[in-house]
Amino acid sequence: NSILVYSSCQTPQYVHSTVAACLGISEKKVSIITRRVGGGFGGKAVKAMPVATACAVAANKLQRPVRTYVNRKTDMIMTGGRHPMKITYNVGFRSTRKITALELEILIDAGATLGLSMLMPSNIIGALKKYNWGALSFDFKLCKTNLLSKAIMRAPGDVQGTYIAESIIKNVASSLSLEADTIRKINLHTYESLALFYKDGADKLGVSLNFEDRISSVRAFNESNIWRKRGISRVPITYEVSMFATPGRVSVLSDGSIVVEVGGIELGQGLWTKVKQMNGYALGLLQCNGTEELMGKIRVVQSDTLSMVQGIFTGGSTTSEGSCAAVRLCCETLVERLKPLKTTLMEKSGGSISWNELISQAYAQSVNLSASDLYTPEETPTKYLNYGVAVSEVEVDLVTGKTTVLQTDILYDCGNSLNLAIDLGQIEGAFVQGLGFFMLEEQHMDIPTIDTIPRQFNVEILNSGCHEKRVLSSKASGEPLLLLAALLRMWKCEVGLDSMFQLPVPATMSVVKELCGLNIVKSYLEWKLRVTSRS
Amino acid sequence: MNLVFAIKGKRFELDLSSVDPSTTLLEFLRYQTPFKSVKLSCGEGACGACVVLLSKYDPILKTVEDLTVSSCITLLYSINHCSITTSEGLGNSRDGFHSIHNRFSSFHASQCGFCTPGMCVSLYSALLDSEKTESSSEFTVLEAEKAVSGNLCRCTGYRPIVDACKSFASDVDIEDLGFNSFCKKGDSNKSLPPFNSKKHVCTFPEFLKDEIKSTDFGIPTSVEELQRLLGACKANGNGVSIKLVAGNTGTGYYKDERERNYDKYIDITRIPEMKAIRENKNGVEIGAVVTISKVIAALKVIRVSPGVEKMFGKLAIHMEMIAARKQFPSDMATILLAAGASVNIMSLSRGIKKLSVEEFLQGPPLEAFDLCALAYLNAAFLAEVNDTKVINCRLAFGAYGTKYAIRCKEVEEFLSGKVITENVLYEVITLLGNIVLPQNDTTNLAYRSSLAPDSFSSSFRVIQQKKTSNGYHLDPPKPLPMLSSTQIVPVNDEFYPVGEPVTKSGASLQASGEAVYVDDIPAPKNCLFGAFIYSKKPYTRIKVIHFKENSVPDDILAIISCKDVPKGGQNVGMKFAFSTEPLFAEEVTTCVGQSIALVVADTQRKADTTANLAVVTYKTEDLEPPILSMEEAVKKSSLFEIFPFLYPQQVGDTSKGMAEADHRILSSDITLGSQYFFYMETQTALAMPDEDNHY
Repeated sequence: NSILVYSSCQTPQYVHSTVAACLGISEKKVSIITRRVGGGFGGKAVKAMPVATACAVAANKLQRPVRTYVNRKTDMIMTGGRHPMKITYNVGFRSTRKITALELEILIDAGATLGLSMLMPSNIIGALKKYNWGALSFDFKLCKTNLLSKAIMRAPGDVQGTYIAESIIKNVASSLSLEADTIRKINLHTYESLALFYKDGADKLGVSLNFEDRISSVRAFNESNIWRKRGISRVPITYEVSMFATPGRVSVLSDGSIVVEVGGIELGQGLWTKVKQMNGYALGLLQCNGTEELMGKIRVVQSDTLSMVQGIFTGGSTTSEGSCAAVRLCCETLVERLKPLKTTLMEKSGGSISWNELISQAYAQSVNLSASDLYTPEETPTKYLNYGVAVSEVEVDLVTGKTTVLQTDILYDCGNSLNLAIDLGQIEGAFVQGLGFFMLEEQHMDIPTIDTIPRQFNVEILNSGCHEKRVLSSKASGEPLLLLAALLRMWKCEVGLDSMFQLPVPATMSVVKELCGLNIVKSYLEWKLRVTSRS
Repeated sequence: MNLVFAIKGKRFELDLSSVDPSTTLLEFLRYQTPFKSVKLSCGEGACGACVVLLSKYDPILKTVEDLTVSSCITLLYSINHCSITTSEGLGNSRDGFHSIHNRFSSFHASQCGFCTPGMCVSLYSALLDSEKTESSSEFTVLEAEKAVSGNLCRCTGYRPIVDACKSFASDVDIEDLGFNSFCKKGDSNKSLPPFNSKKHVCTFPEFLKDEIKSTDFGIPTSVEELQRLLGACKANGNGVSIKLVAGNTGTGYYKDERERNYDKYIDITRIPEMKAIRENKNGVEIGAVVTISKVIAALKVIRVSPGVEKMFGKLAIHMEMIAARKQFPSDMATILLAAGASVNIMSLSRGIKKLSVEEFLQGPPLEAFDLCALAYLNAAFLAEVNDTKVINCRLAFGAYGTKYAIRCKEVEEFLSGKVITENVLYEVITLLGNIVLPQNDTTNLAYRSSLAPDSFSSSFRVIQQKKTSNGYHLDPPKPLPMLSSTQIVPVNDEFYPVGEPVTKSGASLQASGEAVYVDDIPAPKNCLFGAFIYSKKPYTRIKVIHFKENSVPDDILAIISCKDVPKGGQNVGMKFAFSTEPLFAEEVTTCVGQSIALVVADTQRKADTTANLAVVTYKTEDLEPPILSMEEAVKKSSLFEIFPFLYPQQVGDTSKGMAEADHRILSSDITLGSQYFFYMETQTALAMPDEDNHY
């Protein structure tokens, strides 16, 4: 009894083994096909598996095709999302503002089942280590509750880790009555401390956005306005990502067109496009006539777990790179195989040769035109760090608690970007998703809209230079930017309100108003009347 | 009686008796036609993924009216004689993509692509609207920004989408738009061709125009006819449930409505009185089925007395804000209350009667009316002032946790004849604090209470400051600045074409809606549909699953649970690196939302409806109370182990670090909540028994 399942998932290999285990059949009798996914963000990793498996059980029992499109309400209740957390910390610092020690106790609500929650601690600490805390210790408790099992969502743990770091910095700043930025600057890493905290993967941290001028204009605005206040904040991030083994296969058809299979899934993140580009580049090294048009000949096909094994999962921001690396290896093999033929043909014709001619000759001579490979990251670049910094300026209406993001400037190191347009899209999209988390998403439907994104939104991509062992020196862009949105919460503390409060996440209108003071107008009038009666 | 309409210029005719009256346009398109570019995402008309252009023809005026509707809440039977245009109808891979599709692709405005077809239709509709506007047929940047403001996207962060829309604006320089593949640095060609509707798409086919002239359909075309119809229904017997339908947007907010079936639906959109906007010397009368966009347009051009005109203008601006959001924060009742508007209502027994909005809101059977306001509070103030003296005023508040909007007559009386001073403001604030009181079960109670006095003083301060101008700023609320952006990217040709900002593979297909997602794969023959029954209790034994009205609905083919896992298989729904999890709850459920069973029926709708009807009987007697917080879990040592290799490394010695510190902050707390994924495409799969089977 075989079964074929079309699944909208980020984890075809695991859906495959889950279905086989559930039906009690050999894995060779299962195939999982995934063409494209209408948005994943981690939610279609673990949480896609039971949907595919339930359909498989029903189809198996009834011997008829069974499909399920989970309606939005059920999806919200059964899928859930990010891990809630409670953090208690002790922080020690010198009068010089240098932090000397940080001790954390972190409770994570994993829900009723474990899922991938075990990945959270290292992610949280990975992001938190962006500052030099002197010494750092922590105690994690992964709580098993009778609440829905939590899923890993885009930048899982990292987004919370960076937020925790910023909260602590802000708290230290408040206790010394200083701007948070002063504390940030003093406690940023040097190259040596970075290496100590991250062990491997440390590069130089060389990004900053000059914003001193804007601080003074914000102050001026706040002095001349009673009911509207502005705040500005600058937040850096470091984001550690890991590369995973990823398979690929490149085959050339008789008309010179090319079909590509990769382990990675197209979730909207542009994986296929990057793969096509890498393919165009790597086969272009053959230098035939017409290789510049290779991009147009390439088709990336849907993932089929029986055709391409070891696809593991698409996540962690590095699958595009991994898939590109796999494709590059395949192309190198093809180039090796085609080179002798090309040389012979060129000698014969005494001139150049076109890609199509070469391929038709290769077909005639039975050159193997299908190459598959498994990219495995070498020891050193398994992990690397991404850097970025963002400055955001916001305005709060004290009467309603409404917050407007006036301007956000992001500077982000993409290494040698595989596709600038796609990386730009990942940067902006992740930032706005983070904005949703920190400011809006109290109810499930409250995701950002056109009205809530930064009114002025500037992004600059940097290329920090070559790192030979990385996939053509590229860097990830899918998740790290979410972390920068943590700063959105931070400036709320910097609008000149009570400096010691803890702002809950998300900082919705009602939350902000509460912090501004629910009776702010009344208190103001009382004060005004007192002043008038005195004079 | 037959239903006749057109989709993408193609004629459809359905026997009305064969159509379940609650069938939505989306269900018809997605399950019974090849046009799958309408995507199902929220299912309540709030996200825009299923937006289509609905065109109606007026045979007398010989004009076509185009408007966007959410096909997931539009009833199929209501589109008789209408023409539907989907994104695929604008253009596609075979006939050539529409310029809108190309702009979305070239501005890198489509990532997962699930929202893109809806975005394209919304933009197309905005472009058509601006072309039809008599005063200025130019599409402006301002209109461009509003074009897709009712559509949600979870991937892009909107910036590139807004730029794709703005690329059609006449008042924009392409250099001011975001990163795109049209304009490379140093190019001399700095403009993109403008939109031209004549060139592309015919939204209303000629054959349908001809048919409309000749048919008389059983839909009421006058108030009298409607009254007759209702009378006839009533005479036919008690208990006949009737729903009057225009846009059917109510199902978006009243979620139960979606699952309710009526015996009869009456379309009231063809009654001229209800479609009309009539001006008279006292103001304007608006029919009940006039669309919000038409009301806005009318209010902007009506010329009455200057004061009333100003009020109409404000009303128009306000309604634009409501329309842009599509999330039903309808606070019209409050604003109409302050404006002193009245309502004509018709009932079978009493005919047509005119009521003030106040009477209307208080009178049965309309208690539920104002509940559809999702705002924290809304307020409307109308005041006649002489310098800083209030002559008379109306103050209305709603949505703060009250059944219906109210007028604060006490405060109105107090204010009349008073000069606005800080003292007066203070007294009014105190008064309001005792009048505008949310009911106890309201969410955000304190916040809502605080808004009434604060919104009042924000508005009336303006009057006071006109005179006094005592040094401090007025800070009147300003409209948001236009969206703008810059992108700076380093170009590196070393590994060409790697690094090039080429457009996303398949972006145009995603825009036209032809890209195939799992639910777009044509249903195989004999395909069945599943819907989950999940636990509604956190920790409990499952006794039995039964159904409301105590019977398994006939159309249900199976209820799959852990008992249906085949011999040799295991009840696993998730197998990953370090854990496995059950597919269906066995005896005990461990959280709300855990799956208990899968209902299987021959349509998705039937499966969903039945899953909703399922009643699970629980038994908790011999179980410990559930653990519902992290603190409880710690107290009860209910913890998952973390493998040492996944446990991060400590750095240095914190006790030494603490000893070296001059200052210490101890036991500070941070709390972080959850975030739902909100991918536009919800979870989905299609399983097919393959060979080696008797299928």
